[in-house]
Amino acid sequence: MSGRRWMEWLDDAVNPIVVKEVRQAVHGRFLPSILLAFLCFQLGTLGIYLMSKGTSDINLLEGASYGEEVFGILISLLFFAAVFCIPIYAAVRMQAERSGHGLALFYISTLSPSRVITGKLGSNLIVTLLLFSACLPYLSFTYFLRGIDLPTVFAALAVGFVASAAGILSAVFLASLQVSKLLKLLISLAGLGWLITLLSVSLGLAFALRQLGVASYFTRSNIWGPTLFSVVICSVLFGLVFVLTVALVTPATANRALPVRRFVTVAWLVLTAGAAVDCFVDGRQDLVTVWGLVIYWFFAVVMLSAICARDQMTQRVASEVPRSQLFRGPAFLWFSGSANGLVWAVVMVALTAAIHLLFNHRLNVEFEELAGPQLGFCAYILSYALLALLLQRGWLSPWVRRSQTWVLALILITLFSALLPMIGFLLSPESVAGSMTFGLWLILSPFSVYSDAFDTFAMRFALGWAVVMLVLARSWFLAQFRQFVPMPSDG
Amino acid sequence: MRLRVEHLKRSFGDIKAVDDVSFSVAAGEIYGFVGPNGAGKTTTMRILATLDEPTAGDALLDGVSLVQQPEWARRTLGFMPDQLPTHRDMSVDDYLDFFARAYGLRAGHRRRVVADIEDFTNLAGIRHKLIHTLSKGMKQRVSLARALIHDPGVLILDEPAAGLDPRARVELRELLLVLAEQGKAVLISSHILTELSEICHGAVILEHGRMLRAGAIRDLLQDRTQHLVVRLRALGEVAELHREVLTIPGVETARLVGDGLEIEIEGGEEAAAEVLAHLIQAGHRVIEFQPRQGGLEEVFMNVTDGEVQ
Repeated sequence: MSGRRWMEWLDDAVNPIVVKEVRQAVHGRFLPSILLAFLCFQLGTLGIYLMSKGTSDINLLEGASYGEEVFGILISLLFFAAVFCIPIYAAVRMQAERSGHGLALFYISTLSPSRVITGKLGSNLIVTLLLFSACLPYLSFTYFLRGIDLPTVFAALAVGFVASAAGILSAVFLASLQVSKLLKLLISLAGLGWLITLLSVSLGLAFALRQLGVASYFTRSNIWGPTLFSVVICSVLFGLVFVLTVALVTPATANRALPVRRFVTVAWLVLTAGAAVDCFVDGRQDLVTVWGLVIYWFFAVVMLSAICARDQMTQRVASEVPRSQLFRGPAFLWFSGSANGLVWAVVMVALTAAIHLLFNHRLNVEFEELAGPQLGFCAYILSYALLALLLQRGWLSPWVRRSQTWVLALILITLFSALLPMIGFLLSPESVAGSMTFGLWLILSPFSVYSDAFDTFAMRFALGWAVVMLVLARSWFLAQFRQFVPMPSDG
Repeated sequence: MRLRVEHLKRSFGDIKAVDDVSFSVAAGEIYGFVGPNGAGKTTTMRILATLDEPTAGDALLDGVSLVQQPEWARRTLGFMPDQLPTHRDMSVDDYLDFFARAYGLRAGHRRRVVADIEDFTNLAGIRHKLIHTLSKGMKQRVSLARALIHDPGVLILDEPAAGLDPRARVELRELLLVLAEQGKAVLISSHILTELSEICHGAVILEHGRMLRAGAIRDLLQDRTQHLVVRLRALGEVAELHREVLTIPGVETARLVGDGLEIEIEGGEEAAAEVLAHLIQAGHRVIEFQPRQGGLEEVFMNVTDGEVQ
């Protein structure tokens, strides 16, 4: 392939959104001004620092650490721009497109939602790279001022880049949410808090690297296990936020659930495999405990979000329902819809509990000790989710929108968790927390499964309640199953 | 390529934005989509552009459902929204190049297509200008160019003439006629009915989401011929003519306009001929008897009540 054709192939392969956004960034004022400001600041910092020390003070041969000090100043500014400013810039642009016709117009082309989000992410990472490239000569120069080595400089930059990527993805995710103005304000504040946390953690890591040097990490024994664990966890979180963002920008009429459930199922398999290795090969309990906690809580959240999904299939979704009865049953789990989401979450929780039993057997631990509270918690959340769903669909639909059913479920949880103990306290003030007398008043709280004195009873109560709620909701479930049929064919 | 809309419905809660709309547009035809504000024009067009889904009904492109195959449909139709989204810091060339990439056009072919479209829509001279600095008329041209970039068989244009000066309107009209000649099916919504009736082969009239009339312009005007408005002038006293006319069978109303009368006749051209014969027989020296050319505007005014939803 000739050089020109190779370049043309490369040009075609680049995501169109990346090309568009980078062109806009270059034509706009934000990027050129931030790059110029950066160059000026770095030159100024280095110049002032060197002048303030005076040539006689800078003795590069006697264990000096001037480079370490200058590195600290420069990396702080770089991280502030990359981890804080660029994600905000990405969120503002995304929000502007979401509120206008811009993003809608992308959909009448052949761009898929995942390419739109990949493009958004890619273009902002290119802006981050431009920023890093502007700083790299000055950061490398700090090596000559002593106190820091080049591998540490590059390792710190890698930390900043990963943090920036996480910040950009989170910002794009939050900007993709279409919510009321009040909720948007709250989400913006939460997003700012998250970016500040991310900035603090990444700067802390960079300063720790500066202090200890990157070589110290590799001289430790057994670094690969924790490193692999961190990489897997970060990748799963990153992937989850990515597929959720794609689902948010996918037209509501499409089967938005499929990519998310596919990803979560694969992530579940990977995490379960990791926990199994830790349990069966190393005979340890640590990873199994974390695995259980994360998975049960995650599916509890899934249950609360599932009840907000629609009950009626759109024509587009119905056209994708398998015609074969054999495949239609399993396919039910992979389609958008409130019943579909709830059934999928219940199946995943049941699978997790079954595997938990195997882990417990290997570790010689009672089921109630390791998995019971988590399973009970999920059963409580399922019961409240179904109660909220039945109330919203049956009586409260004029006042509570379907998309707000999760709020209704949270209100019910708060109400029943707080009201009964308050009544109990009024009736029996001598009761103390943790005793069985007071514990009974806490029976409707999902957190009662975590009480030492009460966990087994609460777990059994929760499972029983969930079964009762499932029976009460059976006609709704049956209606959902019955309407899960493909579109009639044209012929 | 033929666009067929079948019993399309779209509800937002209790509000029926589109209620049982059916029509079809064939290749080479321009169809006007008319109705007062809130009639459901934009909702219908968004459904046809695959940006929304109907509550019931379907829209078919050569028999393929737009609702079930939106990805396929997007490659086949071009949609021009009522306003161009804000694209700061982007030149006309970059904007069109972006959409050409988004439609999967490759390297050399993409550059040729963008250049051709810029020439066709008369944007070549301003290809390096930033979009947000352009006038409304130029932005509309850019929007049309974007809708044409992948050579769609069907064009859906939502208020393309809104805010354009008279010259830009004439140019847009000419562009649309050329596109129809190229074999594209064009569905265009507009408030400017006189312009639509000049270029459209057919029209769909909506009100409160319901379709009041749809069909070829000649068929719509056929309805009008059953109810003629005629300009009448005769030598002599106009007041006496006025009194006489109102006694003739078939004449519904008559009013003084200038030095003559404007009379409404029920029964079409046959009835009009009877009225004229009656007048001559009565000894009136008629010097003008001219049915008014009302066109689409008159049809629209007759069938809609002007209320918005």
